Amino acid sequence: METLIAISIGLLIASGIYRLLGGSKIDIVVGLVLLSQGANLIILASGGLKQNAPALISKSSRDMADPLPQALVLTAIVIGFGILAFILTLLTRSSDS
Amino acid sequence: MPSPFLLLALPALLALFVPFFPRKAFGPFAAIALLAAGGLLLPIVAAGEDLFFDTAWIPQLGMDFALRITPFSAWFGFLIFTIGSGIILYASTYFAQNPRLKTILPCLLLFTSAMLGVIWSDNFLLLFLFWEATSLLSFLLVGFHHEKEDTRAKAAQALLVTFFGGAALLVGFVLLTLETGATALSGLQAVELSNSPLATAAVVLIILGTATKSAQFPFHFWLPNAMAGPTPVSAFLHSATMVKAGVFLLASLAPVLSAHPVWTPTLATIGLLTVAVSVIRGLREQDMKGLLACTTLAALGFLTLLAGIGTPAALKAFVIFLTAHALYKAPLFLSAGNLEKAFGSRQLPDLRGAIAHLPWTGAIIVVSLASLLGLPPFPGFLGKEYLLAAAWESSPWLAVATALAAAGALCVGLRLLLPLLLKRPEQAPPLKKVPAALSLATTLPALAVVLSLIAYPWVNKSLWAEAATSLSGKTVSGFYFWAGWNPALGLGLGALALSIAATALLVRRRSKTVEKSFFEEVYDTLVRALLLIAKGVSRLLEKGTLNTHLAIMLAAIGIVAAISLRVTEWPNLTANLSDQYNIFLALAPALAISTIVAARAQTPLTILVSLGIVGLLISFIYLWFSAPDLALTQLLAETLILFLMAGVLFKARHKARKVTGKIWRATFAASAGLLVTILILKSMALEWDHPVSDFYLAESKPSAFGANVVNVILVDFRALDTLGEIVVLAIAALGANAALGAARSRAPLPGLTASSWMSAGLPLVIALLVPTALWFFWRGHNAPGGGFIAALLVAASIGLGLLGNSPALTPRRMRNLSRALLIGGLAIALLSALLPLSQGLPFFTGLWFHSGDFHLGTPVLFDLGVFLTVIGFTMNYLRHFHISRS
Repeated sequence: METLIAISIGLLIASGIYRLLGGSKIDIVVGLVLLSQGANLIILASGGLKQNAPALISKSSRDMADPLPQALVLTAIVIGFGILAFILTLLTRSSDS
Repeated sequence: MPSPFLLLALPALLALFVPFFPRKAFGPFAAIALLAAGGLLLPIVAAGEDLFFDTAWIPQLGMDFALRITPFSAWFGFLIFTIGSGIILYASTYFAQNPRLKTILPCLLLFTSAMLGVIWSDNFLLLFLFWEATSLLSFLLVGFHHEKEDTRAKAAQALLVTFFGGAALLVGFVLLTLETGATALSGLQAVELSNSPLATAAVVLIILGTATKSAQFPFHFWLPNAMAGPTPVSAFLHSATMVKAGVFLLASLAPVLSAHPVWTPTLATIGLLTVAVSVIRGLREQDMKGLLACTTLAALGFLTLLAGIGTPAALKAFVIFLTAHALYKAPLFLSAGNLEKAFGSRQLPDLRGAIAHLPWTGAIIVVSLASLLGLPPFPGFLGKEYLLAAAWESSPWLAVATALAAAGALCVGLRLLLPLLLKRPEQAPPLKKVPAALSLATTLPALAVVLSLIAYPWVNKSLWAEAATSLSGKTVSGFYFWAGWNPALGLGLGALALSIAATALLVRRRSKTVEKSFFEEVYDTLVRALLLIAKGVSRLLEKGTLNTHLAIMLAAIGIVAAISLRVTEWPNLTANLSDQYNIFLALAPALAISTIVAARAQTPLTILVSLGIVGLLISFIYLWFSAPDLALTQLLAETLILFLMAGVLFKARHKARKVTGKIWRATFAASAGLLVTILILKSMALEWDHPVSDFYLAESKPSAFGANVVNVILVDFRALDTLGEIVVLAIAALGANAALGAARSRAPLPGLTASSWMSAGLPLVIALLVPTALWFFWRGHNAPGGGFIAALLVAASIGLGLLGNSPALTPRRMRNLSRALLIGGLAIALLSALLPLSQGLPFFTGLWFHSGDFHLGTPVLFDLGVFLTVIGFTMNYLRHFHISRS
């Protein structure tokens, strides 16, 4: 199971890098999306993965999911979204001129 | 009385006043201030006590702002202030017509402060900081005429050589601290230096550092080249500052370090060699400033020799030699500047008869040169006699060698004096007038010599004796012109006679041109080699294409990661996650397929669909691993990403490029992926503590009143990070506005015209989405949701509106609304952070209002700020990408 997750992430990173090395503008956009998806999963996985763990605090909840990597990844998703939007801006700008 | 240590800051503070003064008024003002400061130091010299000032700066590094003024360093400070005063006055007249007057005066003043810092620092690291400051400022000063390429090269040479030495000195200091435990000069006094390799390395490195600074053999070449600087700068650098820093440090360390077997032989050798090379060069030099530079080199050589001998007698001689040199060298340089103004040249043949034609400057030159030649009753005589006496006391052979070296140095002095005494040729061009202020400024340091001779009994007993006592550590009663018939007197007379004889023999010989010294050639070769290597490396790594560049960087990261893999053992994977009924077994192949498709996709549609599937599957993964907030955020962000990309990709004219290097790209990417896989496996096998997470889990409910810990972290525990994040988003929005400009007309996506059912149905969908978003926002603190998720939902509904060509979304409205949301959102977020300050609580402390189970607090307000900013950000991009520009 862990091996499968690690391989999936490795595949995302490999595809992202393959795309980034392509050199065209669209390659960079797609590569960046794949790479950031992979990076987000790395953060979550390195904090320790848990199945069916409670995510919210309640009276009975014990052995909760680690909230810290989740908060980091949430920030990373939004920032990644921001970066992508900005790269798309540059792409538009450079295809205009 | 205010602390004398404030005098350290005085020149730097004066520098602040430069812009506010009329050009002509600043020079006299600063000169008087500096002179007064110098006068304040004399009582400290006479008191004969060390003064200390100590305040913690970086205690973890043993770096205190520790200063110490000994009688000797107070006397040195007096010399710096007195000469500095003359230099500032001189410079403000010399550069009166130069538009960059207001650049060089602050540099000179800052340099004065830095030099005072070097001589008054007690802590090694502090001393090093001031040391480097003098190197840097001297670079700016020497390179003042930076419009000339030659000047730039010479200034850079001085900088490189002294910085190289500075680095050696720093390491030397660190090793010395490791060896002795002392972090300050004053802490060294009780230390017995051992003979260990560490101590030897420390001594060698400190000698290296000081030798470069004081232009000792084989680094002597930079000093004559630094003549490229303007005259007042040369006068200051050569007399009391910069080059004196090195020998000053040597003399301060000598009482302890001279016990080391390396110390005396090394310093005596390089000192005498420096004198020798200065004589060889001095006998060829035609330029008056160049000649003076050679005499400086010789004096520095003798000072190094004295510090190398390191006995109380030698350090006593050091004090008077340094004093005499500072007081004759500054007027000589300034006089050279006067002669240049009057004669229009600095070449010796052009300066014939100078003394007769410029009586005032001429008198100063004669007095100063007499001191340089060691004639009584000038301080230079004392310097020479005590130098020879100290050398004799150490070893008669050394004394003979010193006397020979002195004879050579005297030849250089005579070579300078003789042409100035000759008759001026008839056909020579007419003289120009030397401004009175320049003559006055030249007189100032020379006046100190005359005054010291008039008040000799007091100066000798109260100042020189105290300074020498503090440096040598042995009570000194004073310096005497007549010490009876002794070997030093004989050697001194012999050296003078020898130099006169040699000059008489050599005077007929034609001067040769000065050649570059061998060591300067070595320096040039090293610099050239360094530049070649740098160019080669750049050419190797920077091919000018982005993907090669990227591959090299990634490879570098990969190598570091791979090395780290070797360190840890292969993980023993214990399956924490069960394989039974696992949806991931089905997800993984789907993810793999869509990822590979995305990696190869070329048409916009394939790209969008494959990336969409990847994102969707990943949000499933988040959900599966107990991260509902992430799943929601991912889902919504993915939707919006597709929306934005569609706006760009379908419009961009996509050129089919010939794809090259597929195989190496694939190999490279595959190895990177493999590396990441292994790293993740290793990190997942680790068992670690989560003290921070445990704290958040424990405190979330009681102190932040939220059951959704992820959201509480974002808006409360780590709200400052989130504030930074939304500021970044706002900046990215501004960047888009700057890059794309204002949107004017709007057009739907090509091929995506709104069908009638879409137009009809959209308002309904939007009407449902917005309240849902508000509900998500509200419940965020206790259940999956919050500002980010709610904002993305609202943004998605706006995107839908754009797709449906909603008439409400005009470009102007979109622009104004996104701007208002960005500004308002940031303001609200900031307000929530600042509100607690009004209650006297720290920044970002949560203020809460409670009513039973209902809690309302500033974190909710902050979340509102996040919500609005993210909507504004997304709206801004949607309007740019989906509203075409005409």
